[in-house]
Amino acid sequence: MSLEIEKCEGWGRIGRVFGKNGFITPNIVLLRFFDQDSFLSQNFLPKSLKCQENLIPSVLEKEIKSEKDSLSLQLSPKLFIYPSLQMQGKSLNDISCFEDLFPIDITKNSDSIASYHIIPWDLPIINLGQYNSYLKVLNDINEPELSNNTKLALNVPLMPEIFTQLLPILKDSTIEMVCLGDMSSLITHPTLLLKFLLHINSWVSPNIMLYAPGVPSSYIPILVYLGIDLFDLLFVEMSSVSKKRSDLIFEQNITVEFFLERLWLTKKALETGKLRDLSRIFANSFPPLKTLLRVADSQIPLENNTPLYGPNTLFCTDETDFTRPEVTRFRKRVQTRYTPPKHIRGIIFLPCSAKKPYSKSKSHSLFRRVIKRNMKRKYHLIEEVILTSPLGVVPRNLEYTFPAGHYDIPVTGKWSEIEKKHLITDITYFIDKLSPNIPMVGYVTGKEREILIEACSRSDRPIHLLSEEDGSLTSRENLQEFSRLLQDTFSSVPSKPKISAQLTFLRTVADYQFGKGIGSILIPNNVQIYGRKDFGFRVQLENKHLLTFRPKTGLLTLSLEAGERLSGYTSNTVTFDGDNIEGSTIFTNAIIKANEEICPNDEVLVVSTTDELLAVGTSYISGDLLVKMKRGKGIKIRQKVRRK
Amino acid sequence: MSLPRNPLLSSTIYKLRQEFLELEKDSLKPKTWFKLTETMEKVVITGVIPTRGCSWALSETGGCSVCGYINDSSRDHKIPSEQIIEHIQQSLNQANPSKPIEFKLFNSGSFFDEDDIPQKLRSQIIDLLKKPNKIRLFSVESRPEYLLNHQDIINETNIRLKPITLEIGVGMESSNDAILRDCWNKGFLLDDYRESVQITRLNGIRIKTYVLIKPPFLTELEAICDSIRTSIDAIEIGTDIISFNPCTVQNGTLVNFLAKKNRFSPPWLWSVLHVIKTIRNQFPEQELICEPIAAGKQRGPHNCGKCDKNVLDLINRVINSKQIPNDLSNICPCYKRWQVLVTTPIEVFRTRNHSKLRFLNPLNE
Repeated sequence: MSLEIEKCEGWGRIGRVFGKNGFITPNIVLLRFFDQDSFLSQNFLPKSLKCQENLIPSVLEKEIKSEKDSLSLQLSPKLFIYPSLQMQGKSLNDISCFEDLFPIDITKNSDSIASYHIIPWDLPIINLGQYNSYLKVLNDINEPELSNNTKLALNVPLMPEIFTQLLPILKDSTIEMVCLGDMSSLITHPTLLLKFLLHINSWVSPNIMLYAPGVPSSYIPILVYLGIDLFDLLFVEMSSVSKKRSDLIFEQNITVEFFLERLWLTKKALETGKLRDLSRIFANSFPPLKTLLRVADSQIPLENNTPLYGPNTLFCTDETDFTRPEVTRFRKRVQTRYTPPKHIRGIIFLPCSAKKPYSKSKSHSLFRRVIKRNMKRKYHLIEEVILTSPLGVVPRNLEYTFPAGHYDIPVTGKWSEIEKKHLITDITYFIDKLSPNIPMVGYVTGKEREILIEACSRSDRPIHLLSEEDGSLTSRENLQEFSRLLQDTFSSVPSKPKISAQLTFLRTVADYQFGKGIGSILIPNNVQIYGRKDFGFRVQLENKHLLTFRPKTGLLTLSLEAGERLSGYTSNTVTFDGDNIEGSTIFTNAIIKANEEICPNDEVLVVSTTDELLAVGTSYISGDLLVKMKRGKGIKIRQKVRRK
Repeated sequence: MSLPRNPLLSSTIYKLRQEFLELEKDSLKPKTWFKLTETMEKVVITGVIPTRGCSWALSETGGCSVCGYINDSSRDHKIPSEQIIEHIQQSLNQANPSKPIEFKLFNSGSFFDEDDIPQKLRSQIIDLLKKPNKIRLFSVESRPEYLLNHQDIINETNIRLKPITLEIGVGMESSNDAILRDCWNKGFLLDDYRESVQITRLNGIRIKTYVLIKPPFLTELEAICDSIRTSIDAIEIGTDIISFNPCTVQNGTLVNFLAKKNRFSPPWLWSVLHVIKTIRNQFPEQELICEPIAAGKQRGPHNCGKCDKNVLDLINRVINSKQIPNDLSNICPCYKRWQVLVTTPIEVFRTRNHSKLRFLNPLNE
C-alpha cells in the first residue's frame, strides 16, 4: 500500500501516493481502453469511432490551453480498461492463473506513470448478482509480481449485499483502487448513493482509493467530502454533445478546464479546512446534492474525522450548517462534558455578539461592566452564558474554544424552527445540570427571550427577565433595568472567598477537551499561571511546565508532565508498538491501538504496549485511521520521555 | 471451453421462462400468421406456424436468453395441423400467379426436429408446396445440431422439394464461444455451427445465418464489435446470406428481466446501421437482409423516437447497396449522443445502462 493521508476533513482527504511517479489525490484518472482484438482498429470503425488508445484526448487536447492544466494531467494516474472476460472469449471458470484475466501481460507494463489495471468482469456472474463467486475466484488466484508502477483496480457494482465479501479480498492484496462503477447512474438518487458509500466505507479499507467514474463537476466537492479520491473527465465528454442547456448552473457549457478548476478548488478547500463550506456552496445548486449533504450529517459519523479545530473562521450560512460536524460536536460536548463550577451561585443568560470572542465585543463589555459594578465581590460566583445559534449554549469560559470563538452566522434576527429547537434542547440540558436554588437572569430580548421562557417552563424553573420584550440591549434604560434586576435577584447570594477565575476557566476547557471531570485532575489548585488569556496562559506545576492555553484555538496543549497526570484518565490514548520513539513523528504503521474518538488535531498520549507513557503529541488523523492506515504520518510528537 | 453451457445463466433463464409460461398457461392460443409481400419480380410469403415449440427452449437449459417465441407455440396443446395446412393453402392461392414465390416458413424452432414438427405435418407441407410449381425458394430454420444429426431427413426433404431451393436459417448470433455460452445460452459453439454449415452446403442447400445484435450484458460498443466479428466469421465459413436481427425484449426471457431492472436496452438503430454499413463496405457482393422487429418501439431497436423511420430507411438502403449520406450527424442530434455512448467507456463500468441518453443529457437520467 502506498497511500498516505496528509490531511482530512469529513471523509475527504488529501492523499499522497508514493512511488517513482507519485501523485496527489483528489485527482483525475486518465482512461485508456485496451483494444483487445485490434479488430476495432482494422478499419471496421470509421475514423471518428476508432478507439483511441486514450479515450479522452479528442476533447482534452483541444481544450487544455493553460500550461498548468496540462502539467497537472501529466501527473495524473492512468487507468487501463480491458474488455470483459466474455469479449476476450473466456469465462471465469477458465481462469486458472492471474495472466488469464487480462488479454495482455500487464506485468510487462513499463509506463512511467502510475498505472492501474481494472480486473475485467465476468458478465453473467456480475449481472446476475453473483459477485461473491467472482471475488472468490479472484481471491484464489495467486497474485502476480507487479512492478512498482503497475497496480490493480477492482470495479464494484451497486449491490450492497456484496460488500461483506469485499473485505477479505481487499485486505492484503495488490488492489489499490476500487471503482464505484454504478456511481454515475446514482447521481440523482442521493439516498441510495449515500447507502452505497456507507457500505463501501465500512468494508473497504481507507488504504484503498475510491474512484467515481462519470460524475458531474458539481459533485466533486461533496463526493470528496464523502470519501471519493479520484474522478475522470467522462462527464465532460458526455455532456459535450448535448446542445440543450443544463439545468445545473455549475454544469453549463462544462469544459475540461472548468472541471479541472473544480477539482483544484476542492483540493484547496481541503488544504484550508473549508471543504464542508465548498460542499455546501455546490450542494445549493442542485436538490439531490442538497439531500446528500443533509442526509449525510445524520447518517455518516463524520465527527471523528473532522479536525478538532479548523480554520480561523467557521461560516454557518444555511440550515445544513446547523448539523455540521464541528457544531454537533460542540453541542454534544457542552451537553455531556461541561458542568457548571461548584461555587457558582447565579446564572446570567446573554445574547451573542458578532465579534468573537464575545467578551471583545462592545455590547458584552457593556454588559460585563454592569454585572461587575453590581455584583462587586460576588462577581466570581456568577456564570455568564451566551445563547446563540447554531452552537446553542456557550458558557463564558468556552468562548475562546473552537468553534465558539470562530463561527459567523448571517444575522437577521429571525430564527428558524430548527434553530429554536436546538437552542431549547441545549438550554434545557444546561438548566437541568444546575442545582434548583440557583437564580437565573436572562438579559435577552426578542426571540431569545421567547426561547428562554419556553426552555425554563419546560424545566419548571423561574427566570428573571427584562420587562421589555424588544428594544436595544445596549440602551441606557435597559442597562439600568438590568442592574436593578441583578440587584434584586442576586442580593440574597452569600459572598464566598474568591476562587481563581483563571483556574476555573482552564478546568472548563480541559473538561471540554478531554472529558468530564478531567479539569480538576489535570490542574491542581497549586499551579502557577502565567500570561494573559488573549496571549495564552502558560501553566506550571512545581516549576515544571504543565500545559499551554492557546487563545487562537481556545484549547490546551499538553506537556509530558500533564501526560503523566492524565495517564489512565483520558481516552485520548494511542498505543505505540515499541518502547523507544525516535524522531518527532510517529507513523501509522507503528500504531497498534488508538481510541476511536480521537479527532485530527487532538492532543494524545502515546503509551507503550505495557501502558507506559512514552510521549505526548498531536494527532494528524482520526483514531480509526491511525490504526487502519498502513503508511503516513500519525502523530506529531511534542515531548517524549528521554531515556538515559 | 469444455462445457457449452453456463449453469448460472441457464438456470436463471429456465426459472424465468417457467414462471412466465406457468402464468400464461391458460391464455394460450396457438396462432398462425401469414403475410404476403409483393415486389417487382417476386412474391414473398412469410408464415409463422404454432408447432410444439423449440426443443431447446422447452428443455431444462431454459433456451436462448432473448427468445420468447416459445410463448406463441402450442407446447402441451395439440398442434393445429389442419389449420396450418389450410393457411398455407390460402396464402398460396392469394399470391399473384404471374410471379415466382419465395416461401418462408418459421416454426420458431427447428424444422427438422421430430419433437417440434411431426414427420406427417412436414411431408404434408412439402407436398402442398410442390403443387403450384411456382415456388422458387423454400426457407425454414433450424438449430445446427439437427443439421448434423438429421442429415437423412434434410437430404430427403431437399430431394423431395426439387426443383425448389431449400434454404435453412441457422441462428449463429455470435462467433465468440464465451458470448454464445455466457450471454446467449445457445447451447452450441462455433465449431458446431461451422461443421453443420459445411456439411449442409455440400448438398446444395443454402444457408442463411442469423446474427443477433446486442446480447444481454454486453455494452453497446462490445455488441457492435461482436456482431461485426461474427458476420465476418460467418461469411468466411461460407454462409450464403446473413440476416441481422436486432435484439427485442420478449416476455418471459432473461432480457426482459434485465430490461425491467434497467440493465438491458435494445440496440440503437445507429448501431444496427453501423454494423450493416461496415459489413457492406467490406463485402459489397454479400447478400444481406435486415428486417428489425418492433423497430422504433421501446421493446425493439430504437433511437430517440424522432429519427427511427429515417434510420430504418438508411438501413434498407445499405442492405440494397445504395448510397447513404456520409455525415450522419445531420440526420438527428441523437447520432452524436450515440457516438459518445460508444466511444466513451462509461458503459463498461456500469451494470445499469444509459437508456435515457437517447432522449436526454447524462444528468437527467
